[in-house]
Amino acid sequence: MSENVLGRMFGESQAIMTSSGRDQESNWIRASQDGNTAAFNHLVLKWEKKIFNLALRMLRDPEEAAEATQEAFLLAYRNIHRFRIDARFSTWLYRIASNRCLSRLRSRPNALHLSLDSEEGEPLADRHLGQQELQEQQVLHMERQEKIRQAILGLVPDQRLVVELKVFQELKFEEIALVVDAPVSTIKSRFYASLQVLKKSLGPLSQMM
Amino acid sequence: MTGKCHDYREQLALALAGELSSENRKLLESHLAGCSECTAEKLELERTLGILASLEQRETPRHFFVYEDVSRPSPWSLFRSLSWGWKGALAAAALLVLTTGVAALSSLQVRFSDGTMTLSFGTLPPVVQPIEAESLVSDFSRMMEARLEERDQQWLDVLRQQVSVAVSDSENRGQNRMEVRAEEVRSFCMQQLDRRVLAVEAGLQDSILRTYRTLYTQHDLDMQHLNDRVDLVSVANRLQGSQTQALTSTVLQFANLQGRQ
Repeated sequence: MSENVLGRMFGESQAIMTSSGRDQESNWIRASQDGNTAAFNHLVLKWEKKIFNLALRMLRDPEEAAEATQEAFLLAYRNIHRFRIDARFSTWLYRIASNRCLSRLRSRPNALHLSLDSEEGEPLADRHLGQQELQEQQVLHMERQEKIRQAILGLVPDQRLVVELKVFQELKFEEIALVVDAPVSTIKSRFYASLQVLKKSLGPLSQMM
Repeated sequence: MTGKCHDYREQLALALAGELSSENRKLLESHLAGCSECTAEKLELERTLGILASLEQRETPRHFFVYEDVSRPSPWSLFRSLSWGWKGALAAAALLVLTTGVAALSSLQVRFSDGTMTLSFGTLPPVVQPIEAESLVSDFSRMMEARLEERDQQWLDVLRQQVSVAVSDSENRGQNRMEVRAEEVRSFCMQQLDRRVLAVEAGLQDSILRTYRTLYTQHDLDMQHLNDRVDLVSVANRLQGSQTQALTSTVLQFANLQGRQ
């Protein structure tokens, strides 16, 4: 991204950027609600990595995860006037992103929900062993990362979302309940059930530690 | 693993997630101190969470931005973003609209007349003749007069109805008053009549009593007079026995007749 584009995107809200922390985020939200696109892009920049990784772990395909991330931010921008300033922006944004991911998963044929044979699912060693510059240690590390992703993808979407929000986005159960619109007790049960599944699928990896 | 252990397993997951209350955490810890199976489960779950946490965040393939000109999606992109169920429902609705449209167009009729074009679904409306201003004014005047007459007539009807109701009420009230008065008069007459009857009865009784007394007195007088005459006759006619006897018999008959009256 060139500096010109970044300057065009953020140039209109330099004054907003001078504040800090949560107040800064609140200022960006208020400016976005007044129609300031540049202010909203500050919010996008702050949250894009977390939202993209959430989408990636939910959907597996990086291209689709990027599309879902873009859709989530566009939806958030169009509905920013509905956001109550006293609520948590992260919870609201996670809710939009989660719904986009679940919607994409639902629109897939059922067989693809748990499919592990896409390009992303191929053993990384096969793809990278040919690349002489990679050391064996790096390849093993990437394989291990991929197996963890596969284990997460082995969960049903509802459980996968709870693990994502709890373990990787570090939300509290009450916040997760707000995001997925389910009782806290249900969220706790899903988390426990997810850990039981992951314990089995990640068992071989734990022996390698 | 006991049933008690099963109860602690979910709490174990909550504790590892950092969301178990201190009270429950103490209970869990005391259980773990004496249960090797649950302790092993705890270690496994810790390892599982540790492996999950070792998953690295990926860098985004690009930055995401919202532009003013892309903030509105195209209809096609909106359609693509829908689930299969909604896509099917929308397709069915579009088919229905299309079918209705074709059916409507098939019955469309067009007519050109006096430089005007008329479109109609089904039968065409009758040709409308041009309207003259004077006839329109006269029609309007007639219509207004008729309406005023109708309004006056309605007003008169209402007035008649109200008068009729008022008269009827008045008559009803008068009749009620007459009935009350008649009842009073009847009651008064009955009282007077009863009084008269009592008076007549009392007078009649008194008259009968006086008559009875008069007759009784007359009877006494007659009897006394008769006795006197009898005595006289007896004395005078001591000598005329048979004549006296006949006279006495006649007198007695007369006396009996007077007593019956």
